[in-house]
Amino acid sequence: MITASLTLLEQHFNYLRKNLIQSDGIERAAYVLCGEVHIESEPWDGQPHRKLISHEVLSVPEKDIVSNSSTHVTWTTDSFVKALKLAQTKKLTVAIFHSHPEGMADFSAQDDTNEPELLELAQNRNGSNTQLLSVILTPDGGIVGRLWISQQIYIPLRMIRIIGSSIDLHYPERGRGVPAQAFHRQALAFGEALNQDLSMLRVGVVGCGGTGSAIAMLLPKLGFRNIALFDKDTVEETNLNRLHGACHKDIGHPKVEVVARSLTELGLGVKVKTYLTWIVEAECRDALKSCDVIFGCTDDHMGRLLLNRFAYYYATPVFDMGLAIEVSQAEPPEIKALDGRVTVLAPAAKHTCLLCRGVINPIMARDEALKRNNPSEYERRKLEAYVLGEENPSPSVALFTTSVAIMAIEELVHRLQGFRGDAGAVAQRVRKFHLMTDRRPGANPNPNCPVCGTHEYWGRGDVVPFLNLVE
Amino acid sequence: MNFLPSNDRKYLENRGLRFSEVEDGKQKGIILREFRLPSGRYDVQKADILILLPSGYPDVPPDMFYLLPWAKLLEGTKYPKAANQAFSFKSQKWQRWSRHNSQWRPGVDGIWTMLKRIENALEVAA
Repeated sequence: MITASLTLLEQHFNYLRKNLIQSDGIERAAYVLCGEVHIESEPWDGQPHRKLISHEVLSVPEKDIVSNSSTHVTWTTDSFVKALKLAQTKKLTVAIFHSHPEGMADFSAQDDTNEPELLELAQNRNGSNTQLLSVILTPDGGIVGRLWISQQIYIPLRMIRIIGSSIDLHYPERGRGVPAQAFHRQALAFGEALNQDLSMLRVGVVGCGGTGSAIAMLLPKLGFRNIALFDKDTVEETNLNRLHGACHKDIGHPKVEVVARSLTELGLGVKVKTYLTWIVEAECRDALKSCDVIFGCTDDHMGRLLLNRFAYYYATPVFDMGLAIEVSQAEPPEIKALDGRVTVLAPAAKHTCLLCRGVINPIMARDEALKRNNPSEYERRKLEAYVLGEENPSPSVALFTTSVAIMAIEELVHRLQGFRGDAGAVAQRVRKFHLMTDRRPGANPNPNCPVCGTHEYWGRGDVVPFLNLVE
Repeated sequence: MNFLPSNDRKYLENRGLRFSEVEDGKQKGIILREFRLPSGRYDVQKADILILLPSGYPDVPPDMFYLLPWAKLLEGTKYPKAANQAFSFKSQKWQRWSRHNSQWRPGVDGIWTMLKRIENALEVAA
């Protein structure tokens, strides 16, 4: 049975709320063109899933409104046909948003009659596979939706995410779940709703090294249940100083399996899915697209490049981490820099991407790709000095890989729960462990940056090729 | 095969250039078919040009380009500088033109930038 969900960019949600819910208490409507995400098999329930993402909001022109009151709005279908035309050219799905000013957080009998007719119009114009999303906003902040796939069948949205500097989740029975005893003390700090949110979220951990394993080990303790681990590497002896959950006997075994075993052994009801693959490979794409949030714990430039685009195309927050330890040649070495970094990537104001922040080096990404795709040519170019060789292994200490992981999880919990207050979200934080200070380097997007500078692809979802990027 | 980013595809189609998307193992690229070389300079008038598109393109820049058949300068009947090495792609030996430019502006540069660089390289080769 296919399931469906919706992601709304915070800027779209705020605009819709402001325009559809006004002090006069009159019902209003707007269209949203949505990017489509097709998932053949969602990792945790095995079912096909359709995710829609708000890409562009279109107003219903005032002149098209035939009549409206506190309980109805009627408008001509001219603007709907225009929206359908745009959606067809750009391969998007049309959503109709309307308000219920009197607060009914469900579809009315009128909606049940009108929507199949609109779907019929949509399918006659754009083809029989055309779907139609319908969403209701209520003055108390409520939002519910359903996806029409035929005139007889609709799929209720199992979750609506609002993504920006915070992450707000809307799903049936939110805050009314059965409290879990294991997480009672956390509820005393943050409330039951957070525990329920965490139990619903699908979270991906990309890279299961020092930082990724630290993230993964904490997730079940916070109440996350649906976890996907991505890493192609096996445990080496030199990892044991920082790889949480790994013992000496695990050397040679895949990191994802070693970490997954430790998570499962906690007995907290987690469902761990493992992907023994590089994140760039197509075989883990359904899993990646199924995640609601992602922790980026990879240290390669190419993996970061992919996640960097992914966050904006799929409106899926990525918490990217890095640790840089620079030392002198002396013995014992003198610490020159000991920096832990957490950057949040999301289609939202002030969330500048990793390319514009200079975190990713595109040339190194290219060299990594060449080494993987054509090792002999890579070796040849190394001799010719056309590519940079690998550096010596960089210093790494469990204290700091773990600390950076905690910084990232705190950032996520704040964005869900708000414990730091209204201005608490930090798009990039650099902790200078040796100086005992935190910095928040700002960075402006390059205005032409196709990832964060223009909004052309925010919420665009599936495109060919994936992310408009050569694999 | 359909791995070319949409803006690049649009550009090549609008310019009316004949091209194909090609793969050899995990390496991807495009071949511009029978590309006209600057007249009176080479011992061949047209050549196929291979541009490898690295993983991560267009966030990462392409590097070098390759000709088939190999082109010699008419003047001195020699290969141009740094264009005498072979590169194997789809069991053919291409002439590797080691031209490098790591300047790359995301969102601004694309296949059109690479084409300009190639045209320029062919023009100034010595």
